[in-house]
Amino acid sequence: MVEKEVAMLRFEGVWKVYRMGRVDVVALRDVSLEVGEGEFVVVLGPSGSGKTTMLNIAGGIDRPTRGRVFFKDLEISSFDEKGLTDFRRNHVGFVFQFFNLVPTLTAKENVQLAAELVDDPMDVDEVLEMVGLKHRANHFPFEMSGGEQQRVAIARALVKRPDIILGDEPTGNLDFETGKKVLKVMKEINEKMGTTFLIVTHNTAISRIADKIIHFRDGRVFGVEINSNPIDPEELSW
Amino acid sequence: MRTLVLKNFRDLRAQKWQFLAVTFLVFLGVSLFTGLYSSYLNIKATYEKFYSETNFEDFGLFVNPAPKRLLEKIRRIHGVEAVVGRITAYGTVEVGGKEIMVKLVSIPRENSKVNSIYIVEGVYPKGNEALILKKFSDRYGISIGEKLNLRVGNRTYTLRVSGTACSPEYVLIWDMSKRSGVLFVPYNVMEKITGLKGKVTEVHVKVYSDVDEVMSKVENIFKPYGIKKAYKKKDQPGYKLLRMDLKGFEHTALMFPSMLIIIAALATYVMLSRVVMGQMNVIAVLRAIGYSKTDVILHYLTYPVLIGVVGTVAGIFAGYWISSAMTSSYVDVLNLPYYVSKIYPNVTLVSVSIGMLAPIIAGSFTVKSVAEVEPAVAMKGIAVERTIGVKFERFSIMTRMAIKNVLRNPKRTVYTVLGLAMGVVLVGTSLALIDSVNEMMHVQFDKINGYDFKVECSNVKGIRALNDVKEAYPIVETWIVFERNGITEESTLIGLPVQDLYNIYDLKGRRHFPPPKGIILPEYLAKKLGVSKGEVIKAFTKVGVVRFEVYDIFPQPLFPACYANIDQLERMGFKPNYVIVKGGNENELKRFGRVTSIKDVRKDVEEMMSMMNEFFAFSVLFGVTLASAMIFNTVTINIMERRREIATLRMLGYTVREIGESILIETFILGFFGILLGFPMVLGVLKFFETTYEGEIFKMPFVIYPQTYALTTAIIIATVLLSLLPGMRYISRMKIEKVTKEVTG
Ligand SMILES: Nc1ncnc2c1ncn2[C@@H]1O[C@H](COP(=O)(O)OP(=O)(O)OP(=O)(O)O)[C@@H](O)[C@H]1O
Ligand SMILES: [Mg+2]
Repeated sequence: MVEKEVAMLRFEGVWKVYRMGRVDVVALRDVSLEVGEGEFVVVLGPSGSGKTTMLNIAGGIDRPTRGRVFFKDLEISSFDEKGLTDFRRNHVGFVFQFFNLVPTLTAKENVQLAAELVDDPMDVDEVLEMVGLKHRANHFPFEMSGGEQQRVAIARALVKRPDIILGDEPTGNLDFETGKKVLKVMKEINEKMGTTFLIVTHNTAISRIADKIIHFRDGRVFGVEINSNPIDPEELSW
Repeated sequence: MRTLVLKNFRDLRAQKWQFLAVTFLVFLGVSLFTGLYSSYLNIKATYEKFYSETNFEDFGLFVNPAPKRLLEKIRRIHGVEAVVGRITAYGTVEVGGKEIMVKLVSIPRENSKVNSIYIVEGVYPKGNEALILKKFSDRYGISIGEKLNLRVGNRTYTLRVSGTACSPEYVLIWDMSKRSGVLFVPYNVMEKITGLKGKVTEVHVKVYSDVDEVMSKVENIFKPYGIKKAYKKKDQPGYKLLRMDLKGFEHTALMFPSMLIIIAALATYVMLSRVVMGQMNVIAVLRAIGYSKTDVILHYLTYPVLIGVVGTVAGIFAGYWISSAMTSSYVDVLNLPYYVSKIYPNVTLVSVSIGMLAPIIAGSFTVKSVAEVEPAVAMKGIAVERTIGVKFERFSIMTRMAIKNVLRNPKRTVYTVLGLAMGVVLVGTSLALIDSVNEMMHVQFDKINGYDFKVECSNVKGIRALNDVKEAYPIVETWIVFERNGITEESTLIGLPVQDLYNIYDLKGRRHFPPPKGIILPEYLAKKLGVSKGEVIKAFTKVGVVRFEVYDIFPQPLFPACYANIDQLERMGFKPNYVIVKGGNENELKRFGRVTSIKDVRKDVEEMMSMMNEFFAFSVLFGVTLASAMIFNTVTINIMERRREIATLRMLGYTVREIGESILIETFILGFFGILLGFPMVLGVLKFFETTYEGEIFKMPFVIYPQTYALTTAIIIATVLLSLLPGMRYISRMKIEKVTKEVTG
């Protein structure tokens, strides 16, 4: 067998336990998974199954209780505060379920906020054009629709040229058509720029556009599916 | 980081009124501290400069007429730097058809090296010339070169005004009967006027070695002639009163600004914690994108730094402006030729440090604690609301909401109540001080002095015989020096018959009557002498050594004195030397002797007090401003923090009016407790003033009139209502859709 290429992201026996007074809530129990470079991965699971918890750990904004997490050959689960900040700054782009834009900054300024963090960001206008929002560059979040705000969030994640973009229910708040538009933007970026995507959702339909689908239940990986024939978001329906 | 700075400005603009209100508090604190404290230093420097330039005495003696040549003997005592002898007398001058009482003070041929005369304008007098006190000349418009018609007893003289002057002995003329008229007249002229040829009645000495040693030698020289009074520099009445006042000034200059700075720090803390809490999600996003903890801390610290810098810089400028205005108006009341107004690097340094540090330290508490929060947790929002369980089903939903809001954020509630209490303290104390001044005037002129005139003569029968004189009584008013266990204390002895024109009151406002026998001592004096009721005390007086039984001891308002029965004093050999008169006519009374009209004295004192009242009015204004800044802040924060909740309520169909009512109820609950807490604090501050201004020459009665409570409450409530307006306007104009869209989490 040929030696396997190092994965972009790897969980090895990861546990996350929240201590709530005398009760322990186990959000992740012995999770192991891999996300390869350039892959478009969707994590599926019902509400409360630990998806967000996993994503937060993957993005370095949370830490596992037990187990190890690797980004390429770096063990991020052993990083200190500063190490995690640098990791997020240089390698990760986040898109959250709720829009999470800074309300007092315009679309362009929200993107700039991220661009200023790295040495070689993409051109802010170009990124906005990619998400189809060039004409809304100077609008404040409250002047934009939910889908537009979500696309600004994608632009903001993208502008840093991250290795991986993590999305937590990026279409959760959007109607079908808008959701499709957002997914299309992501898929295009994945294909054109080779950016790895890890998307968390409970919407099974979305998984059809993914290269790989990881099923979650009760904090465990329930199964992994390889989709050799991902479809175009245009063809989605739910 | 450019975009973060941009965000700073956008946030500032979005909440500009809140930021301004907090900055304003810092500004008030800093400007008040800089203003008051540098005024204090200015005034102190002014005194010091003037007293040193005019070679203020180290001690002085008031003696019975003694030969002037004794001064030579004093000059030869080792340690004496300079000495001057004086004769003094009272007379009247005619100004604009009115007779005005003046004190005449002799001055040597050349300006003396102790208690030198400071000539403001004109020249040192020669022959039949005189210098007049600068203020006296200003007040009556007497100009240099003018001839004054002087009357002493029943003789008249003409003196030419050679110039205007100030003297360290007459910086503050506290004795109401002396008024502002002091004429400095060449010694040889005074000899003629008084008939005291070659004599002196006052000796002022400056030393370069031990005061006590020199003083006792000088006292020995004058003992054979009789010493009426001997005092050291620190006991010179004007000097003493000024020092006392200055001490009180310093306390005030430290106390009020410190309270304000604490309030400003609290306000910064509360406001910033609101801002930061409201931006929990933004913080989480910033951290998730890759901004470090330090970046976030610095970003939010910009606000307190900005508040500190703007408040402090503006405060320092305003402070020095206040200080120069205040110094000049303070000095204006005194007989001083100039004032010192400087910039004090140390004061500026202290202002900068407290003005900047207070908000920064207060701000860093919240900012730091929030930056510590893990982004994964922050993303979910840490809406930890603690409500104190209270049953209030009886109330309407709006009242319940109001009560819940008060309980919801105990820290903010405490801060608001404290701030309101501070407003009450400022407004209430200022009004109470105005009350105290009024009370003082009332006690002095309506209760103690019930007479219209005091005539220096003993002819009661003659005065009673005058047409419109209603009542007239003889009194004794003279100096007295007590001695007990080696301690000597000087005071005024007043002998009264039982009558209603000149009354004795204690500090509590109770009336006392002249004792059948013995003497009433003011409390401070009894303490100093260590004497108690029933004991017998020895005293030196005009009629030699006498003994009094101490009949009663109590604190007295205003000008404490020792009271005895005039009959007893007459038996001891004292002669009545004044007649107090109700009714009568000043011009007719003048035939009997020097007349003091209580109305004139009252007018003079009121004039002096008007500056104080201005100052108090200023503090009322200040209190109102402070209270509005505080209340405005809380109300706005309260509304901004709940704008989603308010939007929801409006969406549900609640009217602006109903929501406004809830906020009104909430504010009233806070206001109620603020006022409840404030008044005891006002009483505390007054008590503090009472102990600070505890004087022996002057004791102010500190009171609050009942209507002042009502007025203060009304002012605070009005302020509360006014500062509610912008918040209410916001609610009524609020765009519900916009608020719900702003949602960031
Ligand atoms: N801070 C926390 N404290 C305690 N329990 C927590 C905490 N965060 C998450 N949990 C629990 O951990 C479990 C997994 O939560 P998680 O947010 O990862 O679920 P999820 O799969 O993202 O659900 P959803 O699809 O509803 O967003 C849940 O049972 C949740 O209640
Ligand atoms: Mg989730």
